[in-house]
Amino acid sequence: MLDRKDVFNTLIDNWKKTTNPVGLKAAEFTAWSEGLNLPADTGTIIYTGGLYQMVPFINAFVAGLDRLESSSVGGAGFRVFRALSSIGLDVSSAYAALTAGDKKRFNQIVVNVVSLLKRSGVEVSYLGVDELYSGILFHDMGIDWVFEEQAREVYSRFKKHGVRKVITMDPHSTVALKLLYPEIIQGYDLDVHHYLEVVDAAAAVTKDSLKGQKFTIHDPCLLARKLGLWKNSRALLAQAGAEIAEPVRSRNFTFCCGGPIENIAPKVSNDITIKRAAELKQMADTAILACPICLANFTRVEAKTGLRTLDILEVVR
Amino acid sequence: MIILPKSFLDVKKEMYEALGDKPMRTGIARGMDSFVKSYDKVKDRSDVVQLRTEVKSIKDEDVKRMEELYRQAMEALQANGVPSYYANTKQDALDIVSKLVGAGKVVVKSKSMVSEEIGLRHYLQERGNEVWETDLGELIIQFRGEKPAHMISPALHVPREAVAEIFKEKFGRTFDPNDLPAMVAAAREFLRTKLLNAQVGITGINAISAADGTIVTVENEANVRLTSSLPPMNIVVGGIEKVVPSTLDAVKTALLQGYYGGSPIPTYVNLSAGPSGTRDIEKTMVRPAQGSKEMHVVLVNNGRLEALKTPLWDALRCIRCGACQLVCPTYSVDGPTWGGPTYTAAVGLLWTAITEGREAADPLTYFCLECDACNEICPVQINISGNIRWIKKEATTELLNK
Repeated sequence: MLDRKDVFNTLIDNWKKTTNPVGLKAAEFTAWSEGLNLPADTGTIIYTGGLYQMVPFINAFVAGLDRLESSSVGGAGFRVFRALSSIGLDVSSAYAALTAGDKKRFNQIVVNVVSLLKRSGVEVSYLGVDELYSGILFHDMGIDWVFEEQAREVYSRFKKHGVRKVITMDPHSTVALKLLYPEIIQGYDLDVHHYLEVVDAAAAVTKDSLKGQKFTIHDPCLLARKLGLWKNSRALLAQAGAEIAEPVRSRNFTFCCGGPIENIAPKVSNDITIKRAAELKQMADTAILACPICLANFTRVEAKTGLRTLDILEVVR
Repeated sequence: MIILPKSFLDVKKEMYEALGDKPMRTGIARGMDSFVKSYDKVKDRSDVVQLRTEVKSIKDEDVKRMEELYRQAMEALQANGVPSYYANTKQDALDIVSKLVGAGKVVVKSKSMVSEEIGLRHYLQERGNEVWETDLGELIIQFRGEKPAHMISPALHVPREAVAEIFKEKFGRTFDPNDLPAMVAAAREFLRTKLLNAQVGITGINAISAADGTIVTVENEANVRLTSSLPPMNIVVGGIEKVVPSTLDAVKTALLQGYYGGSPIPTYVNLSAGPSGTRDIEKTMVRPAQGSKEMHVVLVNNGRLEALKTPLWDALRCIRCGACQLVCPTYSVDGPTWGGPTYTAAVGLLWTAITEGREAADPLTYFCLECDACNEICPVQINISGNIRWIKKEATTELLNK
């Protein structure tokens, strides 16, 4: 079983090497934008935070942690990577095993948000390799010094590129940039909006394009509660004519998918995901959500629960 | 007894093991589902919405004046002929109550989280008393030798099948798990004898008025009424944060606790301002009359005043309805295992830090999702997840020596 220090040190080591907690190379984050010819320095950027692109890697990483938890190795002072390789499960090789197809789905989600914005009349730039991970996981774990250092670096990159307005695409990065950075950075002056606040449903979504399709909906907890945006995703789905079957726990009383503790306690996290998936499955075979962490979690248990999960960015057109 | 804080790995091991406890998970799941229904009945009621606003401002004021208010309540009680005692520590509280009770007595108790916090039942039993919990949920966990799973529903983790099992063992006959009335009737019959023979009744406090010392409790079972009035001596034990300025404030606070604790219509709200008495002869007060002959009130600090100086002051506004626990995803799979020696899940982690020291709560905080379900439902708007993160941050910083 892994101690908290093992997990923290692994995440911090990864961050030191790559500026993100799962140790991904910059190219994995920027691949989605190739060939899109996004305009440079419009003053408004799309900030991906890298989370959607990370989904297949998070799944490989957490699967590794979970296997390690069941094994006898680990314990105080043990570094996770070393431990992983000692049972023949090296994360870098698990990453290498991911196919282009595994990554394509999640990269396409990022492409789709840019299209939705464009159809809403919003042109965005992208910082490419200068876009850094927000550091939010370190905040969640109470490793505030890493989070604060990262926040300042993210902000200075924005400043370097003359960014004034930031459009975010996942709840976790949005909470960081919108609610937490202003507490850390003096004179923080960025205008931060989640894409659901910006997208114009009537202009961006083809009317009745999902007519005849029934979904249930999983409100990501940060989106619904910290950001208060549970109405917006419903507006897009309504424009598309989708039928929505609300689960018992929804909107601002939604039930977390378990994702935030996937690193420190993967087995507890997994049981919460399964419990929530079962609740959603009672309403429909497919659940729509709007968060890469929820998406990663639910896709990991898909075979077990039979619940198919799709990000809203995969269905509205 | 000093309980050493558990290590993170100890807690994680317990958390992993609890995932496999099917009866516990069944009980918690059923309880959480029932709560959704009862909460739906109160959440938009205009009187409840108004009450929420009023009680929030009452509790906001309380934390600013806690020391002044509890002193005022104690003076008011004394002036009304009710001996009152301040207990700074757990041991002080145990000593005070134990001295009043003595040995060889039959003692009945109603549910009180503070009495769990100080370990009162065991302490009195060890000193040769027969002690019985009169709240059905609390009796079930007394039978099972467990800590409460929840502030309002101590036996939330015990599904009906497991209640039938423990009753069979204790009452010597079989019960149909689906015949809930039969099980409740058996407890009633058993407890009625204890209540009638008890020399001491120990009760808790939902709120107490600083102005005149009136104690308010809210319940459905009537066991608080019986426990406080049938035995000759009534000892009341509560935390100092329960003191509110007036009796009306106390009634409001207790009612809101009832509504949020899963009772859309609480059956009984009790106001008690001393042992029983009568003014029926010449309008002159004579004590006792039909109820208890004497009443004592013990107000317990046990870390509360110290917590006022930390970010945890926020949690001292808690009215202990336990709604936050009933919407918590981690609690839904791990139940009472996710908790300290007394308090479980959500705001229970903060109460663990207040009453047992921050170190006792440290390892528990890493299982919080920071999903804010607790904050969303809290009727007095305590920043529960933010405070849990504060504890986690302190613990992580110490761990990583940063």
